[in-house]
Amino acid sequence: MRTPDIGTAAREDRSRIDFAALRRARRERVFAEMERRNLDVCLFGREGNGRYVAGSRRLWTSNTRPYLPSTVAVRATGRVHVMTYSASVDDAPEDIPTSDVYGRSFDPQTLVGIYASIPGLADARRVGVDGLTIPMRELVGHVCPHADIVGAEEMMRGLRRVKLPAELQCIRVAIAIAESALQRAADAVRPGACGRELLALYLERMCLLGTSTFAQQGAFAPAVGGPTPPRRTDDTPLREGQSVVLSGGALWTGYEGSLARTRWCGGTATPDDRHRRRYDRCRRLMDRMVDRCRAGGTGDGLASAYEAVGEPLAPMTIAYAVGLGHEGPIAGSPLGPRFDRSQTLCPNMVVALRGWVWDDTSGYFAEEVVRVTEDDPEILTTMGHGAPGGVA
Amino acid sequence: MPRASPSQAHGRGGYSSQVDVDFDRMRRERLLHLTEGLKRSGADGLVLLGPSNQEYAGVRRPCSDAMRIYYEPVVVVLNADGDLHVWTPFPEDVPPEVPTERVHRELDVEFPEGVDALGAALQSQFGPTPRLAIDEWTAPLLERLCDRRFTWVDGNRVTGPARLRKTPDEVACLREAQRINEVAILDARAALRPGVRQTDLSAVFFRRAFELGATASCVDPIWNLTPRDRASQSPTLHGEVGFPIASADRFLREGDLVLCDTGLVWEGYHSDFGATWICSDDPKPGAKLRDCFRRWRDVMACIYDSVRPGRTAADVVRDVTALEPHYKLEHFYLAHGVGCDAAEAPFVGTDRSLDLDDAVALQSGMTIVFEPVIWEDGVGGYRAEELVLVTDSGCERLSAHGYAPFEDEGP
Repeated sequence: MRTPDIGTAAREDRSRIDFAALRRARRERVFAEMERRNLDVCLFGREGNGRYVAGSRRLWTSNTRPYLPSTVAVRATGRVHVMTYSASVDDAPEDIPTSDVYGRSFDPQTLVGIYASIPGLADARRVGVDGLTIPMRELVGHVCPHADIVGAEEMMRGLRRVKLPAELQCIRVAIAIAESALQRAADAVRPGACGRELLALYLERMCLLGTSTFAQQGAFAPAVGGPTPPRRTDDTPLREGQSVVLSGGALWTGYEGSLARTRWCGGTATPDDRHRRRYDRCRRLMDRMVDRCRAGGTGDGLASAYEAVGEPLAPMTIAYAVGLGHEGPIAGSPLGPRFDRSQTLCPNMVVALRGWVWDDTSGYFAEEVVRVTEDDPEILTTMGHGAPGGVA
Repeated sequence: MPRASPSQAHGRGGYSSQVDVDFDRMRRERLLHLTEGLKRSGADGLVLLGPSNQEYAGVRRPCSDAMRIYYEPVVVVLNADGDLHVWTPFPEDVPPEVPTERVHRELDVEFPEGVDALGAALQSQFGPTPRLAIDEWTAPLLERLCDRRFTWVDGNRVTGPARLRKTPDEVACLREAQRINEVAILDARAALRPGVRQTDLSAVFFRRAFELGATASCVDPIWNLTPRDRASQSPTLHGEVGFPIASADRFLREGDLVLCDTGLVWEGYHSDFGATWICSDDPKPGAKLRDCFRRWRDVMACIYDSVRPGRTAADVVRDVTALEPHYKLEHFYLAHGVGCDAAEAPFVGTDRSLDLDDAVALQSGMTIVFEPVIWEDGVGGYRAEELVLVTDSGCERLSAHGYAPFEDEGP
């Protein structure tokens, strides 16, 4: 289907996305990679990895949760086991049999029993984890007494970064939701409104579209001249003549759509020349970065786009892989130019690009999401910048 | 590195401006708890990767961006003198008392290069073979810094006890978080009527909560559609009621029993609201369901009588069990602590041996959420949550919500 068809409802005439096939395809990729790396078992505690290999949904939004493996992939059996918090099989994807759904426990002995009953753990030789705590390492030692524990986050990052067609479609929907929610916030930018109200409207709109899972709470705040864009939302009333940064994102079926825009807070007045100049500079920068999002390109090429257009490189990650959440920096992280040079772009990677330009009074921030293709980059974000150049 | 002014960094304003919290004092006292714990542990330093532990140490980050959190890494290191070193992409969220030279750009501890840089920083601060407490490892940290140079001990044994008893400032934060949650809930409850979807309620709830000044939401709001007889629900591990199940665009319809559970964060402190609602034009519980509520209310009254310093968590469990042997869902507990995490120590009435609960002495300053459930198959049941502060002489209910559409009188 070539005509755009981005929506969230089920259609009677075609499946927009075949999620059963998507779950199967992701699982097959994980097991193939485990085989290549000679990993017998993977124990995952992180949401993105659990979503990838099992297709599980989320409940908690806050903090890190490596204290218990909530997803277990066993290569010898080809089975994926998932933890249920609710005790209900409703927590597990429908293709995971009830026998492969396990509960949680506060009793260490019971926990050992739960994991020990999963076929394939007792004789595993190499077990991959995405994070650990000291008590959990002891637990894994009891459950997999013969195993070496090795890192598997890097493996999952590599797999997750190259998207299947259905994943791209999920990201497109997530971006459409995020844009709709951000548009709601943009419509409310006016003198006297505050960032907190914009954040409230953005989250409300997202929920009304059927997803209460945000990818990030984001930042809704006036830009201030300086090396980085604003990151804190508060209740300070916006003033006429400010350039207001709106950044946020939605999750749809686990996939992230995040973007950022900067809007002029003007009431009836049109943007002043300074705002327009910043917009032009940011536009030039983003065009350059997008143009460099090509297969075979590297992270340092994206970072040097700043230099190419004469803008100082913002001291922040300016390009990162995105999919089931943030999938790691590609350019501008403190890992430095050598790391950036090692980050090679390949077809069907999805990259978030951040452009920040500033002068002595304010700044302009934009974030776009781009798909790397065999030829020209495809910009997945479509939201405009207001006319002309940022009127809210 | 640009730093915000103190009032901006950890201040407050607008709707919550009347809340009486001395944030400087709160951070100072928490750091003291951590430093004392660190000294007791015998470790040279404490390395924190977990957001709630970092919050307790005074360093914030967007805690609810769970799918982004590993690649927007924050590392906090505390030494025995109480000095913090911070590596973060969010320098504006580092408290102003941390000198600029100890605030650095983030360390990407998901990559070997970032972990090596952390190792070098730790060795330069603590010597070539340091003994360090850490709350969680990333995979590269496990692979590159678990050699004979570094001795690691469980950092949660430092942060856990430190976080157990709340200072008056922390309690004030918890009260405000709970207040915002309960005010936003009033809007959600007013919006509950046949035909709304779960995500519609989340829309109303989030709109109000963030206007009121919530800083984060720590759980996808739960509006659990709960069949009144177990045979009508999807299978569960033990045949009990399935709860909590993540929300979706499910319609709530006439007569549905809705178990809600929401968690909002204010200035790092988590609130917890739970109640049982009936979705109906005329939401009147039947006599048998009302009886579940009355029994639930009696359990809570028993808890309020039972909780005081000098008693143990097991004492409370025994008192409740004597009154009502089935006081919870099998996969749950009677109560959990709340603070910089939505569920933290002490856990009360879990599936572990009661002997272990006997080792949990109730102490003033503990903040505990009790969440008994009374269920009758075929009737339904009642579940609500009550935030309780252990005081010098007993306890105080910090929740302020009512029990509509059941009786509007509390325990």
